[in-house]
Amino acid sequence: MMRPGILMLAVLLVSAWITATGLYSTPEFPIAVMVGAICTVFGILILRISPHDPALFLLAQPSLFLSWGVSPFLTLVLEAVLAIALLSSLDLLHTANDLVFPAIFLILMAVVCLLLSGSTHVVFPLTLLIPAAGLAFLLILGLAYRAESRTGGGMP
Amino acid sequence: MEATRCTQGFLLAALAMLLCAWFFDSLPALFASVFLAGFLIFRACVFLRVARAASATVSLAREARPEWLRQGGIVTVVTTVHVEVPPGQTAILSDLPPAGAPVIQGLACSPEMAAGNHAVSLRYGISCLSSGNIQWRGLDLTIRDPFFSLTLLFRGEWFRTPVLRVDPVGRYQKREGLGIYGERDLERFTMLKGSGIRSFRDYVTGDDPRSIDWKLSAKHGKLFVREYIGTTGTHPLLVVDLPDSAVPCPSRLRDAVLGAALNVAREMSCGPQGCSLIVISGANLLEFMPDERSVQKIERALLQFHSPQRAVQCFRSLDPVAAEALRVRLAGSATPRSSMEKRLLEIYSRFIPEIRPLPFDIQCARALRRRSETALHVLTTGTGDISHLITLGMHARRMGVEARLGLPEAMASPALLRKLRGSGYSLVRVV
Repeated sequence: MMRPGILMLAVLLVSAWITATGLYSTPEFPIAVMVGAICTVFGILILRISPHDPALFLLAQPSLFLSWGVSPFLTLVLEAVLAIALLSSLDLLHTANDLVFPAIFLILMAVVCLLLSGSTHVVFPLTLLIPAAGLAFLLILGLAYRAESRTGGGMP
Repeated sequence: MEATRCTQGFLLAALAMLLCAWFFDSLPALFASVFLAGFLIFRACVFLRVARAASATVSLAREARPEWLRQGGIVTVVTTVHVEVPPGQTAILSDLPPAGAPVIQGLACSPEMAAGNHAVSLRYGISCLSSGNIQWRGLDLTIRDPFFSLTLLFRGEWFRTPVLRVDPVGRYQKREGLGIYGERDLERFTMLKGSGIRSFRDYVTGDDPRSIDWKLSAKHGKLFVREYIGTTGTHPLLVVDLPDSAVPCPSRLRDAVLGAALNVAREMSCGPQGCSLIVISGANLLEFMPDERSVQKIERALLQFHSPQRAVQCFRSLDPVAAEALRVRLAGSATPRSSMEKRLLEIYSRFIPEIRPLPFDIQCARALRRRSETALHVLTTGTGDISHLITLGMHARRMGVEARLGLPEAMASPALLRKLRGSGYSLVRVV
């Protein structure tokens, strides 16, 4: 059994340094190296003090932010790898069924990535995404209500 | 559904990214924000699906001993819950004891359970402070994953069994004499012999040999017999007056009265003539059980009505006997009558023959006319209208039946006691 946090730290370091390598010979390269170094130091600190996978996932976000400069597709791939690693390290991926929802989610994110990569400003995507987020929020409320109201249990 | 600290961190990061995207017109920041928010939405959907699946596996078996007890008694509970916790989740079970029955021994909730099949046994003790038929409130199952937690409330009938029957506790104060029958020794001969010795006399042929005092006989050389003192007692008719549903009555008053009634009725049911019981609520007869010996039937009669609705109120009714007495007094008055008195006399003379007694009056008269009833014990909460108590007391006085009344201490105001004492009750005390 792998020690908690090791997998996430490995993915974090890989994503941070892949981004830095990808940005070689661009003006963002020094920033990417600094972000990579910060990710490395803080990642190791988090692992030593209190292994917390979601914290390592959030720590990787700045380097993914920079990876958009290399390619939006790279950002998508790195986010996908990080998300799968997070779910795996949190013991939330067990059966083939558990992979269906992440697959749907990643396909949806790929579509979003495709749409965003073709945009020049955030105004238009934002006007679409904010109502979509509201609808998603309502969907979750409805599902939560359904789960709470139908609690018959396994009794006859 | 609640968000954990981890989810709150994700939301904060998504919001920060969104602001960054808005202010700096940054597409990568917008993508990161959408990815984080989307990740949470996806996790929420998966979590709710898993929680529903887990809730469908919950089954419960609850055992409580004893199921029938007195108020304040302790019940030992063993609740066995079968639940399948999905992978990646943890769960906590909480059994919810009845309202007014705090847990005094053990714990009614389980430790955190990891994924897998579990059969959890919760052993605890509750103290039943409220009375009546009380049920469990159900079961709570809290499911957690690293992002969300959800408490599922199981409130179906299956999760609320068994029903505890808690009898109210009340103390019936003994009156003069012994026990509920008020047995007293008399310095005269009666059919019933007492335990004390009144005198000795010479033996006469036909005397019961068991009454010969052998010690005295041996001392004086001839047979002496003991003469026992007489004993007397009454066989009371127990009347329990339940509170009106339309008048607010604290449960402790009702419990005190019902507890006292149960106490005395149980004692009476073991007696030679059983228990004669009338359950009323105002001028409404709910149950009449003459000479009943079954404790179960008596308890059912007392506990089946909580606070009944009083269909009949008698505070505006005029007792025909009292009206006739007033009419006779007016008619026989030697002093010149005023116009109002003349008018009143005329009205009384016309409608008194038409007055029909209330059904409650007839019921009281018939119940008290039974030969075996020589005393009346009334237990009441003393709330709301008391006209029916006055009617009952007056009937008892007319029939020469000794009437006593008990009411909770909180209601025993001097004015009420005075009023009740003046309406036929020889003794008014608190229970």
